[in-house]
Amino acid sequence: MFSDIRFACRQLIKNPGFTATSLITLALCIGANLVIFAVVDAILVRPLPFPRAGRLVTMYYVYPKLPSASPGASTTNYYERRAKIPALSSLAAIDENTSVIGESGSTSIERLGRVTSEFFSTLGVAPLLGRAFTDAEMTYQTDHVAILSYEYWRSAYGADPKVLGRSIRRDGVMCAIVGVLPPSFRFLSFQAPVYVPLSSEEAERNVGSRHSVGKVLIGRMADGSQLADVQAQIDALDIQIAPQFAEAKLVADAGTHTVVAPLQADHVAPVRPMLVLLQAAALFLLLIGCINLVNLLLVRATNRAKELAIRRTLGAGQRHIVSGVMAETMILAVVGAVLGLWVGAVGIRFLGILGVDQLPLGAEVAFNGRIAVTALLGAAVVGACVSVPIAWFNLRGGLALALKSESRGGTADVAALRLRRGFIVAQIALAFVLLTGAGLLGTSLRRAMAVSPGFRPDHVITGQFNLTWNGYRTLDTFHTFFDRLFERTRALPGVSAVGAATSVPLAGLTGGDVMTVPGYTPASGGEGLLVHDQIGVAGDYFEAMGIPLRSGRFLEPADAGLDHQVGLVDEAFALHYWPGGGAVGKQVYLGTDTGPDNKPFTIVGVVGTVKQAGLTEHKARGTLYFPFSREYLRKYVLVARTQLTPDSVANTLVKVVREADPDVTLSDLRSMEVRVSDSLSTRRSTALMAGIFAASALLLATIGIYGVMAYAVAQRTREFGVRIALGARELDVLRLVFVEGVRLAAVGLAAGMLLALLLTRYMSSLLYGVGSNDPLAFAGVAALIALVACLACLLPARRATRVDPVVALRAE
Amino acid sequence: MPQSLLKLDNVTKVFLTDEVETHALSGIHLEINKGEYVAIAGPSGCGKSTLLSILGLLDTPTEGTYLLNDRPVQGLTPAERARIRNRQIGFIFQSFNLIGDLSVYENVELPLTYRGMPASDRKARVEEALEKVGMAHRAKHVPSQLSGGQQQRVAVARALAGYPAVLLADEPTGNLDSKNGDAVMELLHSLHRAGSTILMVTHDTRFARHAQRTVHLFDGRVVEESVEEKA
Repeated sequence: MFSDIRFACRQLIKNPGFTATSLITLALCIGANLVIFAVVDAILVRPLPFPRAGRLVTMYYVYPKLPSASPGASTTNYYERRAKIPALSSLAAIDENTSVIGESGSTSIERLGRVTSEFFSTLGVAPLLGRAFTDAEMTYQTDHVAILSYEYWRSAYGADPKVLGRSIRRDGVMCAIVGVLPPSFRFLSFQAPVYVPLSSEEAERNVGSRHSVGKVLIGRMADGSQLADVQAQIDALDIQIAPQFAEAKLVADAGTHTVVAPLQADHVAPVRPMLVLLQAAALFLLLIGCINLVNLLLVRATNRAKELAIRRTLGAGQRHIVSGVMAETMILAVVGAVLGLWVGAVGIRFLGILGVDQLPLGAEVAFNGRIAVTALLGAAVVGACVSVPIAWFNLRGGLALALKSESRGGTADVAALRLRRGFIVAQIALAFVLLTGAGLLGTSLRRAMAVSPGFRPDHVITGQFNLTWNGYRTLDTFHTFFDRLFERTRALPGVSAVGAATSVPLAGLTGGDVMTVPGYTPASGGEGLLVHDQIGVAGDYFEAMGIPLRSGRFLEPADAGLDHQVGLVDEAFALHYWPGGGAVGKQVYLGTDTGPDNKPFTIVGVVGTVKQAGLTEHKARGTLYFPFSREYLRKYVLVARTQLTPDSVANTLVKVVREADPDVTLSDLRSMEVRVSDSLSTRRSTALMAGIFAASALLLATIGIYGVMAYAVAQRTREFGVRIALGARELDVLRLVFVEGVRLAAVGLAAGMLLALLLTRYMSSLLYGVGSNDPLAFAGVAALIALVACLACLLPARRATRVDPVVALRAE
Repeated sequence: MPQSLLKLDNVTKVFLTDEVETHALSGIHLEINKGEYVAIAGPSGCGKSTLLSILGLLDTPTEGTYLLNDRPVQGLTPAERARIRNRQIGFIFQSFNLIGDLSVYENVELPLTYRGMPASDRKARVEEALEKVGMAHRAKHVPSQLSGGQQQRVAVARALAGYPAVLLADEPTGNLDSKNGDAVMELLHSLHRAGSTILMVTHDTRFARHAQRTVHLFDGRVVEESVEEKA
């Protein structure tokens, strides 16, 4: 074996062109797979960093016949189910929130985990210092305690070992620090510096709030229990307690039921199709690379046919021949893998730029030893697989004939050429599938980018701020703050309009609720309750956002102080309930209660429909806008329209907000154009990665076609010489070569189309505005590959026309 | 009593190309004893090389039996055939068939490595073989740095290194000028004198005379056997 390795090394050094081409091919293909595998591993494969993470489940309501309703769990769910599901050893809830942390004048908005007492123990995590929360701390009167993350403890408290005796200021209230978590603790994708009790009052725990979803419920399955046991017990409990809910029939009509799912699988479910698609694309690329490598090795094997025949004559058995082949391919594979590791490491860094950390568990994506070992093992498998056809080729054929063969035109060459042609057809077919997939994703992205968001995103800057519970207890305090904030902001140079809202489009902050329109008769076909977006607004929000008024009027400052409630609806809302127009003056109730205790909103205007959830949302849910004063909401997004570049006023806005209230800080400053762009980041990244893979595949296929055609021309040098000697014109020779190449491309394209028809249907969920069998995409890719195939044939064809008949005939 | 080393009995070889049968060998009976020096002569296309391929286990007869050291070999597996080629047969080709990427030393060593022989033993055998053909001083050179005659000497050394039962030489002087051709024939002659069994294919009657016995082939059949008085 050592002599095989030594000989293989010598051969590879002696053929730098072959070696470099092979290594670059392998490095690119292995690197691409490594990049995607790093993501797949972190998100889909690697278990969550908790003990026996496979026993963790989540559970939430779904409303299948109420598609506009968001799935979720409530605080009531937690209290109703706690200790009542024997298949669960523990149950916990978390509310992923934000809060104003810090002393006045230096506050910041931080993520805040509001958790129940068993949250950490359910996950199997014990605090590094101190203790977890207790049941007694789950009320608003007793919840002035906090647990810090390890990282926040180190950065904000200098890893003070006596931190348990100190306090942290949250929303203007001092909380005693009772614990510090172990390093790197995060709950799925949520990493908060501070955790506080998920406090609630009786009204939030009772049956009336059962469907006020927005919390995450997790449980740990008891030993011996299975997912089905948990599901069955929760279903039984749901049936038992369902009648207690006042709107039990409506809930039942919505098909409401609880889904119990493995925690990790459920969390990453939205990105699973995209990751599977990209991993498949990367594997296709690797397959194309392997085919190229096999083709290159086959050329070498053909040229070494006589050498191998000599070896076999001298007594080399199958084992020796296979060993020689394996030595060469394994060296290539291992060196290629090492280079691939470098490509992969660079690629993973590139993923950071693409925003991989925005994916569920995406922050875990990193280049690590596990990835490197997988790449090396994968490379070994690739090396072994590539060896098989080469070893087979080397062992076939008659020894006596091979020994005699002095030319390169023996029967072995014909067999090799056939094999290589077959591989090229496969390569073109695979490249077609990749290019079609990338083309469809690219078209989807283009169509999504062309969608009008319903507002004017240019020259708009936005930033999030939270109002503290302690500082804002009365409506006057809200008015005072907003008046001060808007006045100062309007005074800034270039600012033409300023407002605030509890949610801006595409920010993922939208809240929804069931609404009732008096006199509305649901459409036939089983339409039940409808959930619509509800957004509290202040100031000149619509002007600042560039949302057009269709009828009636915008909200005015005076509306905030009215005894009766007024609101605006968007066109989607208005058209649904009043398709003939006349929405202004009508009434809308939040919830299903239309009794005297529930004040309705009177619609004073209709505005344009805005894409709230995403540019590619198929149907708008309809939105009700109301004055901020209706609810004491704490989280807002400041929106300012400026004639200047949005980024240029960002720092000034931060100062203005701080001046308006030293306890309030502006964070997550982004222009609306950036928010629009960010909302497409996953779609863009997927299309970009698929595009890179497809371009690489096209390049490899081009090299493959060129290689085969160049070799075929070299094989037929004498034939071309004879033909030219007999009077063949340049065009005749060109046609000979082109016909060969075009035939290969045509067969490959036909096979690729069939394969693409079969496979692209699996990416339907990732497409927007284009079908998975879009004829334009298929035709475009076919034309591109045909063009590239012709270009790849051009050089060998020209070489064929330049054969000197005298030299060619003498050479044989 | 001469001891039989190779024995062909009614051997036939038919090549089938595009449904056309070509009878390369027909009913060959041939016996070669240990220590004999036999030449196989005949015009081009008479089946000499096919016969040598069958004798060297590079090819199999279509019909008939082949005994090597009294053991039938026509039904052996490829691995067993490779083992026999490696241990009992030494090949010398017209075009030398040295591996260009290996040094002289490595070329001679090659068949020994396939035996799994320890490196020290291989070294002794290679040096001995190269000494025998007078090429020890070129051990580190590669074939392209040698003349044709020198390359054929190396090929002979490679054939000798494994102490084979028989040396099969296929037109060993075909690619050499007369001076180098004579030198190689002299080398084979001296090897025979030292006890080697040699079977040489040649179309040159001048070189066939170096053998003790000459088998004449024509159209795949043995047409004549002649014994040289001075072998």
